[in-house]
Amino acid sequence: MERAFSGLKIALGLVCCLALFIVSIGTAGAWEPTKPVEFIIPAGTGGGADVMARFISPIIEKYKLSPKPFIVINKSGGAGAEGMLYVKGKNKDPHVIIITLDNLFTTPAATGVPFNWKDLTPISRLALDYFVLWVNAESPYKTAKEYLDAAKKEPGKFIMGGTGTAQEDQIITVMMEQAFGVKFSYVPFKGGGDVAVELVGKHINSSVNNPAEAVSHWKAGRLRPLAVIDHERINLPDWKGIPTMKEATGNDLSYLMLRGIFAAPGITKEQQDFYVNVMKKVTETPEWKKYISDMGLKAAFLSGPEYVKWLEDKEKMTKDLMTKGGLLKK
Amino acid sequence: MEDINNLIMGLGVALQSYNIMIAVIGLVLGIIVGVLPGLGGANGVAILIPVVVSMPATTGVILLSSIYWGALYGGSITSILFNIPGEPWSVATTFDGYPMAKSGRAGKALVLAFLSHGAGAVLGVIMLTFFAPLIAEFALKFGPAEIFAVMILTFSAFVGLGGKSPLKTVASIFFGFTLAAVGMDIVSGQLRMTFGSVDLMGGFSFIVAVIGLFGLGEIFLTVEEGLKVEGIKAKVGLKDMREGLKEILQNPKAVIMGALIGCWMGLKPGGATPASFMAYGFCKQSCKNKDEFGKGASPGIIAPEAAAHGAGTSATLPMITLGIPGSPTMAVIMGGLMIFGLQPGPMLFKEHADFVWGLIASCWVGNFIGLFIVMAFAPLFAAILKIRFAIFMPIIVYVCAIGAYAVNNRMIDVYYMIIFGILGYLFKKLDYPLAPMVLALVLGDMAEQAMRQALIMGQGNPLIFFRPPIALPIMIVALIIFFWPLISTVKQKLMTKNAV
Amino acid sequence: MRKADIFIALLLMSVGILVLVDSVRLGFKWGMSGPESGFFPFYLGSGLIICSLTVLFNVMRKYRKGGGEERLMPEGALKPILWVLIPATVMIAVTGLVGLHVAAALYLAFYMRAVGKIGWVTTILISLIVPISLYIAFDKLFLVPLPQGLWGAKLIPF
Repeated sequence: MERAFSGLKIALGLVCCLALFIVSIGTAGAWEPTKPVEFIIPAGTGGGADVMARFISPIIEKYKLSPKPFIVINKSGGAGAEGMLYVKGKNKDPHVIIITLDNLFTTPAATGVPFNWKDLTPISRLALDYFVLWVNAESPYKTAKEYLDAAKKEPGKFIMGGTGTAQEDQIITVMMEQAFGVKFSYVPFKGGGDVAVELVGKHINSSVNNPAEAVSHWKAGRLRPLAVIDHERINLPDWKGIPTMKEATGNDLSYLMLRGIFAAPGITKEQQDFYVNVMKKVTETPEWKKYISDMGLKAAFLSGPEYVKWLEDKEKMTKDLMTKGGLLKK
Repeated sequence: MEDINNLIMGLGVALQSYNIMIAVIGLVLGIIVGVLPGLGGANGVAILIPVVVSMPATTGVILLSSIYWGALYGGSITSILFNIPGEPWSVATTFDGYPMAKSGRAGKALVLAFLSHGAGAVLGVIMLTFFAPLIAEFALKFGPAEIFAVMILTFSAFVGLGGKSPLKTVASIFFGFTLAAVGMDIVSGQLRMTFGSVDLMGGFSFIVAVIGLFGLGEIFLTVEEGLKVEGIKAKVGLKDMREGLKEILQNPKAVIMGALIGCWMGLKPGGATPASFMAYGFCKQSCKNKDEFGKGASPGIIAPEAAAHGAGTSATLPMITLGIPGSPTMAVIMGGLMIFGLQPGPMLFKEHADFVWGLIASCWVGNFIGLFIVMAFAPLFAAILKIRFAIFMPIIVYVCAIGAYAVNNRMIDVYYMIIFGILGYLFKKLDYPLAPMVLALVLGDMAEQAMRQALIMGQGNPLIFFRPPIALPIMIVALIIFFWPLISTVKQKLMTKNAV
Repeated sequence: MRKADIFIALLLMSVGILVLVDSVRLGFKWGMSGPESGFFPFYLGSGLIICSLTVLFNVMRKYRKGGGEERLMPEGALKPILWVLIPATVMIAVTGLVGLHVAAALYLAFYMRAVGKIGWVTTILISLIVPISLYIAFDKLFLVPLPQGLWGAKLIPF
């Protein structure tokens, strides 16, 4: 035991030296991670955020953008609140980042969880995700106008499927209900992929799936896109033919979803810059560009004060929509 | 005929020596992650994605899917040896697998489990090869109402599985459902029974509960009988192999029932776990020697294992044909496909037929090689039980703690595990049955969600659960099985009356 | 046996009461489109309370009659159980300080030596090899970071 103990002491001494050494290197140049970075996903496996994080992490490895790997960890409890609160609690820890979607705004507003995006350090916006109004290809509705007119005649008869409750899909549903004076029965499902399959199986009448969630069913001729819920058409070869909401119905509706990165609160400027830089390089790789166009995303890299400004506007807009739709926590 | 040609072409690719080597590596890795509780195929696949990126697409997918097959085989090993299920769908295997191992027949139990896996795989792969598009169409017919009917069917299969005291059986079912309800209610978006605690927001993980209730609880029961210095006598030899093979052939009903239920249930995401429970329940109810179940009956191992692997195999079908992952592992594999620029979904068959057929062929190859690997190592696995208890017990506790932590990366889960361990011990002592409680915990969420989704669709009208063509027959069968004890007594009474 | 029976029944009952309270907050009626989110918990809670009350009643009646007091566990069984339970709990508590692997190494060594009476060489070898190989497997190969505790990062030099 005696011997083991002194061995431990030596080992400890060595470790301390090593630690000091690493710290001194670290301060000499720009900051770099000294241990694996936890890459938190506030959603379950298989969703859009999950797929994106699992796509980014090998890119970082392939292009050697970071000396330490990014380890993807799902913390999906409470519609993502678990993951957000986890990162919030990692004050000044530079080895934790989180990929976010709009539940950054909606989950705290809908559940009253003590969290706001200002609790985190914004890194960058990677992309924006479109929403498209889909119906089954065998349904008689060829345009958004036809579909909405039909829905207007029978309030509550038409079923709109979406991901989660009081999240973006339901916000958009409420937005459409108010703009066109219709009433849908909204049915929440676990993930966007499930919603698309329910629509193919004709269990629901329509969905507002993201392009990526429905694209393969569309190409297989099972779903029909009626309108893009944005001011402009999607500027990608396959998607150009889909009219905007305004072209299809005369009512200009728009909702885009954030795909962004945040880090733990209280980290230094150098640490923040490191991640901004990594993410910027990720978005410049050919793999990312292909991913964006395959997934029907809007390339929209943004960082620094512009990003913060955009977040503020987006939060305000989301809150407004939720208040109007009665989706806030009572 | 075209399918056969395609398959032969695919087999040509999968049987290249390089690809076979890759498959073996993947299988061994998969077995390792399957054995360790808390690690699943998803972890194994995730670490290899960076490696896979630099491979040709077909080879890469062979590697990823081999991990998946390996994890399916590995999941049952710990269920049988330590009463700790490595994966959720191996829970039903503990009911008979562990008692059999405890009585010294660990080798036989393992051989039975592996062979049943093989049988489930064969049926699954045949379906995958020849009926994929057809089955995908069938899977699409399952909406929330149909899912709910299936859940009821699963529960009804378990009616006969209660303990000595019906009252305590009901109490433990309620308790299981209650645990399942903690956390976010997805239909209303409200937090339930969290009382403002962040730790409760994530709910109770099924794996954590099972590790505690079954694994730790069993350790307490074992030490209670006096600290065993010697391990369980585990004779393993060719005799076990022979006997295992014989028993499989003697129980064709259990094999076929398990494999069919598995292949059918695997079509829907998360189907493997209910499939294994359902197969166990039905097999028990339809077998003559009901009383032997729970004490190490062979059909009690065969049916759930065949179902689990059948479901695991048919779960690849919705991914390839519809683009919905049937399990977290499948979700990660799907992410891998996208790196190759392959978009899973209905177009995959048309645009990348060579790739799809390579994948299907690798299912054949991977499952057969996997079966050989696990069979070859079965004696080695069984020999673990020979280790002295004082060495092996703390290691098990340690691995359990890792497993409980790794499920959600939360320390609180490790404490839950200890609490569940104590509860498991007390419940067992006081005749609260664990099996129905665990079933309620794993299916409670799914059942409630499906029911409420269906009710919104039916505008509050419960008749939606009886809509033809699929929900109605399932529901009727479920109700008949549920009330079978009652029906049969009534029938008997009528018979005696007539006789008089 | 009797005490344990009463204890579990009371435990289940208190869970039932908690659930009931929260389900009333959530709303437990059959709403416009099916049950509200407290609907099932309400009945689960009530069911738990009813079951545990009945169990309590049965237990009381049985033992009032003077039914022979069976023991929950055989004579002398509590000690070995506590010998498993307490070190395991301590290991988990210590994890917060030194990390899971170091805590487990200590736990393995303690249990094997103090309870199992296993030779020093075997004890030390196993309690080093097992945590190190699991550390390499989880933290290094599978990239599943396990808790390091406050000092864990400093205790493991690689």
